[in-house]
Amino acid sequence: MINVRVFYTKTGRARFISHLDMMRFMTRALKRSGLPVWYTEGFNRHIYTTFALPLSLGFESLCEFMDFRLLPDEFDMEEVATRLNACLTPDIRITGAAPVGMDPKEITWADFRVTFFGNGIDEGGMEEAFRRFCDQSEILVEKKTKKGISTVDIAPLMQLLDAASSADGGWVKLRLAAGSTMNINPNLVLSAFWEYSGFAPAQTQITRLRVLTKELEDFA
Amino acid sequence: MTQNQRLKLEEILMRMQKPGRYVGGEQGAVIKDADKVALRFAMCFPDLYEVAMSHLGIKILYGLLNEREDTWCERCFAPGPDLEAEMRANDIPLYGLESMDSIAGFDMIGFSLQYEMCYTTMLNMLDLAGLPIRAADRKGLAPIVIAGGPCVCNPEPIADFVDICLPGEGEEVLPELCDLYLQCRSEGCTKEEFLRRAARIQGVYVPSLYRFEYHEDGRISGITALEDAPMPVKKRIVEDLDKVYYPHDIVVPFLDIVHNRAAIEVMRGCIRGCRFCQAGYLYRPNREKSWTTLANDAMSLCDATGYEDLGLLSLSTSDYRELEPLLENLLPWTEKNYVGVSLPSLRMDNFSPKLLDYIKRVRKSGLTFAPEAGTQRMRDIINKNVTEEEVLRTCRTAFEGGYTSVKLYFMMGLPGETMEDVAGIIELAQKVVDLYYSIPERPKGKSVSVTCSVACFVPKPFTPFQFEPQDTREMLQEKQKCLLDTVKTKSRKINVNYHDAPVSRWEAVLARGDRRLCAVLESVWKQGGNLEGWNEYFDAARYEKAMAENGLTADFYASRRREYDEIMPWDHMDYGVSKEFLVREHRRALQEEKTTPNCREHCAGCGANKLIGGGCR
Repeated sequence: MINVRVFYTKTGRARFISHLDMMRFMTRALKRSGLPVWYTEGFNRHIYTTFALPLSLGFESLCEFMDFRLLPDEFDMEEVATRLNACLTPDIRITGAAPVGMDPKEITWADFRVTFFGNGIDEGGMEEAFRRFCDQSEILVEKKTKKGISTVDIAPLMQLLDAASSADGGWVKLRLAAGSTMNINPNLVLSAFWEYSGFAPAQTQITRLRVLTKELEDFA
Repeated sequence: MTQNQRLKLEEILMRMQKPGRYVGGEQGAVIKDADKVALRFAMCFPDLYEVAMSHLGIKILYGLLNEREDTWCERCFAPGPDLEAEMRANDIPLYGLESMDSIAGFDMIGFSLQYEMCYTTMLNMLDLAGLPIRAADRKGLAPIVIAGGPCVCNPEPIADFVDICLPGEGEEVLPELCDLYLQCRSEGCTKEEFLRRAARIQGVYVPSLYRFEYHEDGRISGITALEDAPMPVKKRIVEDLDKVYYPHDIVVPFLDIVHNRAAIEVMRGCIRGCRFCQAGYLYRPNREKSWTTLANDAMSLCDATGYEDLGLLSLSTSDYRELEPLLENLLPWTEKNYVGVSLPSLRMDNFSPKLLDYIKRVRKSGLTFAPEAGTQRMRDIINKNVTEEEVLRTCRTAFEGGYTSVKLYFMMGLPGETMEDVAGIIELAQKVVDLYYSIPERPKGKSVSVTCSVACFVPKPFTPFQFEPQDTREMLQEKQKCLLDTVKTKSRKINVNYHDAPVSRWEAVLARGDRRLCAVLESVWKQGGNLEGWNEYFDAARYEKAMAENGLTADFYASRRREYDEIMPWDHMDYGVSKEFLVREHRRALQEEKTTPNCREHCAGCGANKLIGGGCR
């Protein structure tokens, strides 16, 4: 048996599909593919899958992962990708397949691109404001946790990678803490920014670009 | 949809409850190049995504139309009230889920009408598309608005809104209609010319080509066909189910929907002739698919979709004669492929331990049966042809097989019903409870649960009870009280669910309504009527007001006994089943209290066999 990890993108219309619905979709795709997947034992046997780092509804992603098991001890990983891709929709595409490598616990950072649309974004002004916002030594936000609402300083948990703006919009690239212990949602940063800058919240499109380990290696 | 509308829609969807309903992009959704097709079709279902996507008929027609290279069929469903408000506020028109293009620009817009309470939703969808709701106000050739489904057996309450109705089955007539449309378009025909030519196709009804006249008391005095339109209008059926198109791939929703499974259709029509059941008459004659075709349908559909559940659908699956070879051959495959099989619609007079073994083998699901009435006298009147002994024997089989709960379906408000018959529902449930405790082999240490689901009877066209008055609201409330009072005196192992009477009353009005109800529906819709099949969106006051505005009463349509010789609003429609037969059956039910054997035992001469050139198989 091999533990397999596939990497996939979720873009376009697929960003409106919730995490739970994605899991069901992927299970059916595995079934359609005819790959020799492992089913759980027991009364209600089903294909075993695990997903790390659930993506918020509405986000696009270039770096999603799903783990499952194949019955044979050896299997061509390229064939896994090809056969699965044949069973997916145009908005959900496999980008690679490999035997499971890193433990999801190693996930520490995730990079996001936030694209802003429409009016209310004056040329250059918002980019400048965003840079100033990120330069603060302390950024206190209210964050919902399992224990209730607490105040967190997200300044050490985020990093501005790049930013640009133009007449009809703009974008920023952010590196945010990710993983099971501390996870910062880009929307949390955005609402803090709207409050700080006084800009009217603009329509955004958020894409997860990379998932990284503590050593800033791509999670694989 | 323009780029700006699309962007706005995406922003709105982020705030909606279930955006996945509104974006398409599912596995199996058919994407074509809009510039390379000649005909664009919107397959509409006037309900929310979860209900619409559970319906088999539109999946068949979606696949069938998309097999045509010149046609692109898309799906289009009713938005929830949250999205509708945003669409109206932001000028976003109703769109097809595949292309996201406004359906107003399509060539044909087809609605599947399964239930009378969805009529106002159809009007609302036309309006959301930016189209006039009345057919006469839509002048051009496109879009042609079509309605199909069981409701069009009496199309008159929606006659002013649609251009065409398709009584019967759509697999053959819909492609013929598309061909005619393309030909007419190339010839530069007007809409009127196209409709006149369409009316000559069997299975096409063009409401604007028929005129109704009324007596002073409101009954119909005459129906006239204009411009050589056929009289009567014959429904269309498919003769051989083994040869007709069946999809080998369907759209698999991301969301969890009501019936989330692959489905195969084991037969059409029903041999039984329960006198309340409209489907049992509308879909005659009974036609079965061979088990080999079905096994192929099932395997290819499961392979293509990855579904883990398979439903064997029909009006009465245990009447399917090849059920045993089908299951014997299919179950080894489904077991190997981890597919669960469900067998809905089982009868109580042919439920064997062997059938139970099959059900248990495939998945231990709940058992539901439909005695429909509590006493033998009542079951004889409705021609259910199930005895109390059979009910109890079936439950015994189930309990001995390890089941501890059964669900029983009943109706109340049936013709000739007395309070004893209503109380009889609970008496029967009590006998099932008592039976459980009398069985030494019952599951050890577990108590029993008997759920009775009680619906209000609605008299429907093309049934022997089409002549019958529906119980008034007061009578139904009294019967509901009797039901609940009786259950209080009985075991706490009995649970009763009953449906609310007000919706049933308006369902009865619309089911047997005439063309004058078009104005009523328009008014109900203008007052906000939409998604009325959902209790939370239904308001009887809108109907009361609309009827009063139009000088009509609900009693005239719902609570009035109709004479055999009265012209019914659907008397120009020919569903195969003759009016003489319905009259005969009505007399047997209520005057002679006689049952009629099923079609296989003895042909009752309903007339539907003429649709397949003589004898039923």
